[in-house]
Amino acid sequence: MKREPFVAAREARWIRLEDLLAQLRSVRRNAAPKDVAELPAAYRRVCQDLALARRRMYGRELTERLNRLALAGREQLYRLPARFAQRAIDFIAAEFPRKVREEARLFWLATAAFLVPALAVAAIALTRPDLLYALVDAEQLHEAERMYDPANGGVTELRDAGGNVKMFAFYIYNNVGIDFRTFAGGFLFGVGSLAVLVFNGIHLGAIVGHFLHIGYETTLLPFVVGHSSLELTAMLIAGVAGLRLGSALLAPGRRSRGRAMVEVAPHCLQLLVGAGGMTALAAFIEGFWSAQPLPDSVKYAVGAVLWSAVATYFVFAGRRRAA
Amino acid sequence: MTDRLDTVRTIEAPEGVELSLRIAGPYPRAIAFVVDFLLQGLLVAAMSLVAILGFDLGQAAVLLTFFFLAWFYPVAFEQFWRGATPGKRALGLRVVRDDGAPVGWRESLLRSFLSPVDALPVLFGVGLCSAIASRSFKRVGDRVAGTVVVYDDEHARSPVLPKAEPMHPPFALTMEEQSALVEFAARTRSWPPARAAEIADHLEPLSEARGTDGVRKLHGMALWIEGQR
Repeated sequence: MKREPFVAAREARWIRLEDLLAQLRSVRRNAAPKDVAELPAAYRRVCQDLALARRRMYGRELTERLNRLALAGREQLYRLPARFAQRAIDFIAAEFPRKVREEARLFWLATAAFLVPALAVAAIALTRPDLLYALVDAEQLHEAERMYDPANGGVTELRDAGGNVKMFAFYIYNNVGIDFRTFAGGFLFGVGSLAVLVFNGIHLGAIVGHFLHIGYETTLLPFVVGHSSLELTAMLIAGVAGLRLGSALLAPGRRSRGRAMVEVAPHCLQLLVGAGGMTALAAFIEGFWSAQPLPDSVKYAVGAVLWSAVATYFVFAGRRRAA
Repeated sequence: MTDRLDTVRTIEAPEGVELSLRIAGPYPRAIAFVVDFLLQGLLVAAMSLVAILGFDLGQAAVLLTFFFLAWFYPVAFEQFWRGATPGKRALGLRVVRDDGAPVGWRESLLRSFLSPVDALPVLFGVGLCSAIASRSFKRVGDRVAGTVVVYDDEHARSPVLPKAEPMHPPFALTMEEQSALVEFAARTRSWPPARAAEIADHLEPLSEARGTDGVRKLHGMALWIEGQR
């Protein structure tokens, strides 16, 4: 068959498909034009036309036009269904804790990478306070001291309602951003993620140890006891996401490193999205609850509830409907 | 076939046909990045004006804007604007999955969350190295998410071949040779004539002519291959 009759016999069909695709692109998701049922067949026929045109060498202009049409058809045919709410509920209720349990070993590794330096530095701060300044920036430590000084009334006195919103925004910007960076650091064979965990451990150990030493714990602990449950756990999970990516690079098994990474990436992303959500929730608590001027006993009680809720969630949620 | 001649990536669709995507190189992507960067800068500047009005609340709004621009600006545009941020749209680029399908939330989020690695150590050094070392110019985010940045052919027009007398090549050419000849003809317009002649001189055994004569003969053969007889 010559090129001209080939085109003449199909031109009308191609134009019809082009129209349909243009309509599909312009409408919102879910609101499909009525002849959308024609799409799969029309797309397959264009694929066939393209294969023929290539094989018979009908020229670049025609093959490029058909290639374009086939790609556009593919874009519409394979676009994702939007069932966002259901997927979000499933994720929170079952998928996320399950994913975390799947990575129990990496979770404990991340916990060790964080807690061991934290405890070591806290011990140094309590026993050899002079050595502490070799480990952390003195200026930062003094800054923290000013903020938590019981003589200033602690954190609560410094905030009004606008201050709460501002701090909430800051915690979102800073802490959730750190989660994402911790994950990205995992690409450097996991080293970046580990480093973030270790540095955070050193920093936290220094503050807590130093404050215990100078007797500021009465302002620090009631403030952090609530949100720390979510914030620290989320940081560890972000670390797990990064370590999982790094371990795919370190030990890809019987796949290429690139392939191993692409295969593990969705799993890491789910861990990271969960961690980001938890950190955002922690930011909300830190912004609007932790600095409320309430008796310490209330703060500790709420903190205990939050910590046990987090633990219960990760130990038990999503076990029944095992996939 | 054209894979070795050009930055075209061929994907095999389940429907049994090969589709080709034109991969975008580092240069247009860098420009697209700068456009996006300026746009984000404008947004931040506008937000800062708001911040002056209300003190704490304004600062809160600026911080949240920073956060969402830094991490979700590309994600939102890729999801709701056919895989392209305004910068990419301006350059006619688009992000698609390795198999040519549109990017989902998963791919967009992974690309975005990995951009800090690409930005290391300065000026997207890691990303550039990764792109140069990859056949499809993939930055780290593209590698992990399984995506490529391609020219959006919806807006591209295939270049018109220069006019000449169509002529039969003197002997049978392989598919690859034919496609090289057509690519040559399509591109001569953007070169000075002397450069075109210089390249055409290498094909003297085929055209049996040198200089502009040779170029004209090659154009004729390209037209013949493209179906004008």
